[in-house]
Amino acid sequence: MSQFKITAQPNAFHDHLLDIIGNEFKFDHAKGLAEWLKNSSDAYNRAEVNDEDQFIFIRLKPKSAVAPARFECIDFVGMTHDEIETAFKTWGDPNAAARGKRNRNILGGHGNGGKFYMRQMFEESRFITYRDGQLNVFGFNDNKRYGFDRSYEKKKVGLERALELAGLEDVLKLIPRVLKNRLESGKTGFTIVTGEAPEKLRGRNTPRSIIQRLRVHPQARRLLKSKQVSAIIETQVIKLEVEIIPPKDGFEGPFEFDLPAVLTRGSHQIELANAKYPLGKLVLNTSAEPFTRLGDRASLNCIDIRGEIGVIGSYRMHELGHVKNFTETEFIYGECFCPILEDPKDDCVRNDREKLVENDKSQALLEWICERVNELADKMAAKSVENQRVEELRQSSVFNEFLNSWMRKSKFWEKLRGEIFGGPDVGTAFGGKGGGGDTAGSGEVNGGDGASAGDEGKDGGGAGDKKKQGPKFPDVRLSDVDPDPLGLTDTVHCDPRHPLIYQRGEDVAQGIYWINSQSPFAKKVLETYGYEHTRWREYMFQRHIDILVKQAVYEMERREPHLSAARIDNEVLDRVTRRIYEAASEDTSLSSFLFNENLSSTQSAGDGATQPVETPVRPAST
Amino acid sequence: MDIPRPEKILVAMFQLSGGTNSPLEYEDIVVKSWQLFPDEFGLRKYVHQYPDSSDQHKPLYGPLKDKGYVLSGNKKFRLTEKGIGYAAELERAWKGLVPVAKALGAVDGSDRLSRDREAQLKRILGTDAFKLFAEGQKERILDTDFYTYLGVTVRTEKHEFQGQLKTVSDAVRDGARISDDPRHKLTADLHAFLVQKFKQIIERNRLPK
Repeated sequence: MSQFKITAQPNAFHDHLLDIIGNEFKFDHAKGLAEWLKNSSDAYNRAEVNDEDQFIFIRLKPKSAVAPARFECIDFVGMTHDEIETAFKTWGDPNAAARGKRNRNILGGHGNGGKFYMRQMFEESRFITYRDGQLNVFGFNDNKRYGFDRSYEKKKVGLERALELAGLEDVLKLIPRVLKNRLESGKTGFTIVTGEAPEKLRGRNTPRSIIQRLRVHPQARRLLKSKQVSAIIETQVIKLEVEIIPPKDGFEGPFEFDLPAVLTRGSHQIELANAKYPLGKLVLNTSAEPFTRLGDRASLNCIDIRGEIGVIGSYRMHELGHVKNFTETEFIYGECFCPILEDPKDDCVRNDREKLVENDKSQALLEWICERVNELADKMAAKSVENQRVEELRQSSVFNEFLNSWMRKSKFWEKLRGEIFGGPDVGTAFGGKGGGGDTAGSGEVNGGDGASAGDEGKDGGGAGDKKKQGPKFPDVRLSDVDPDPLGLTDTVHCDPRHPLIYQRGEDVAQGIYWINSQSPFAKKVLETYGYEHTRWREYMFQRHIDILVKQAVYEMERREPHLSAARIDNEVLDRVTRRIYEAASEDTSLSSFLFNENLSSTQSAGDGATQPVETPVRPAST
Repeated sequence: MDIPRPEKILVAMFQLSGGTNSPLEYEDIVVKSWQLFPDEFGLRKYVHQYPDSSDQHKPLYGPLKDKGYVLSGNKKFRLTEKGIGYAAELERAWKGLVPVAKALGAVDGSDRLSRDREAQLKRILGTDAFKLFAEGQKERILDTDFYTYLGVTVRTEKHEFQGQLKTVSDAVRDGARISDDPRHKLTADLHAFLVQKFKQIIERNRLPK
């Protein structure tokens, strides 16, 4: 112990200290007005007024010939002289906002924000407050020194006169009768905070743009959700509500993550929860539109850090750390609730509540949040690429439909089948009529198989193969794009491991085939050349050939159970491929489809048939 | 103990094909069956003069195909590998070389893996389904892998599908029971997994009762 004993005295400060701290706030008016809103909200909460009955008005009056511009915040609670003396006047009192009340909804932190906004951002500022029949006017003069207006300190006046002095006659028309009654009966009062001749009010920083920024300010958003906040600009009254942000398709969210109890950062183990402070949570949301396209709402593209007292920091995405997908993160916003940040032993809350105090705990938390944002953005990016691919494929399905249409119109399969198998099929069953293929098809069902001959138990025959329809003309579709004609699903999703030509069990009887658009080679062709390139068209053409070969092989096996390689080679592979390539070289439309590099997909309005059209070749630029 | 009627047709097919899987015409099977077993397959009242061509349809298209002994198409039939093995035992029983009961149980009761089952197991070990399962990636197994595992395709006719399912089930069961190869035990697990995962495909290929 030292031999000296210090006797404590009240601190003495030069007013310049207020300038130093005040400058740290780097106010813009939206942020300052949000501070006033919080103070009004705290006043209502201390008076235990329900959210739906908390009416707050932000009134912005432009400069006129006789008066400077004026910003005001109005609530209907009011302060007593004693409250001003004991709570408002003290700088930096963390208990000022609560005023001894244990209310978790009190948002004021160090009790500085609103006062500093009055002091820093206006030539003069004051509040007129009326409570219990007494009017008090307290404010900052043009030397930024605060104090009462001695003419209006503890001044007993009637409500009507008080309202007149505060210039609230018009505002009174905007509040409900119940509140007016409370005011008239003296059960409540009012406060109007006024800043005159605001700084930085020029250019695009107009009252309307300030209000727009206030709507999306992190410190104000939660209040706007629950309280009755209106803006009055000149004569126009605007109810300030939080805009509902429609989510991005496929990422409706919200995406919730529990914060880990401990994070490792370097060699440090950082505690994010303990017996006193419960585990936190990160909630990410998405927007249908990127925030950068939404003007002032761009500031929503952030993560708000929230503690028990409300938002204690807010970070734009790029401020979180290494963001990998900038494009996708422009669609993300969220909120992280982490009460331990307010632990007085390791307080991470700054005076201005814009950013957290920089320390291991806050940095570890931000890095963890950044990882979660990156994960979500990665998923969105992958989906976006996939969507783009599907869209391209959708357009290219016109080409596939052309091939379907060409095959149908030219009766290619019918002719080929007749050529290989020599006309209509013979029945596969026994007994009865047997033989002749008298059901040889018409239309798309080509060449019935004579299965009507001798079905089980009929016409004296025994058990035959089940009745079969002749193989239908192939209906070829693109997987993951074209609709399912059977209506079992929206479309058929193929796996990259599925064969290039895929069929479900249900597709077989209907002659439906799916070109696997997810196969690695199909993807490669599309990625390298695009969906309108001749290579992609030829790829689809090849798959149509595969299908014809497949049909021919099965047809042959059905007719002749003992297939030989020579038969397949000669009768199927050689013949099918030769015939179709002959057609491709002779038929002008098919040739054009395969060789014309200037073909693009389009839908003809005519008979519903799909036709690719030739696009004009652009003249070379000079 | 007599050889059951469907099995007699297998004996006839075995003799006709010379123990191979060559395709056989229905009429030849009818006549051969009658020649070997006139009392069973002769025309009523003319048992020893004429065969009855209506008697072989149902066994051929029904139990013999469903159990994977026979394949058919376009009025022709052939024995499968499994059918050949079974028919060979049946022929020996018919000739009195082995008891009929033993021949009838030959397919299921042997303590040795038959050649056709060995072939099935060998084929299965080479499938993607087995490889993925062995590598712990069973969730990646697709419907098309299941078809390949069974040795069929999505277009395979229902009787043949059921026949092949039975053939593979028997082979897998015997492999797990008899073989020392640990992969054959794994195949049994794979089979149980696939049958559960693709029960809808099996259901779709179920034969009407």
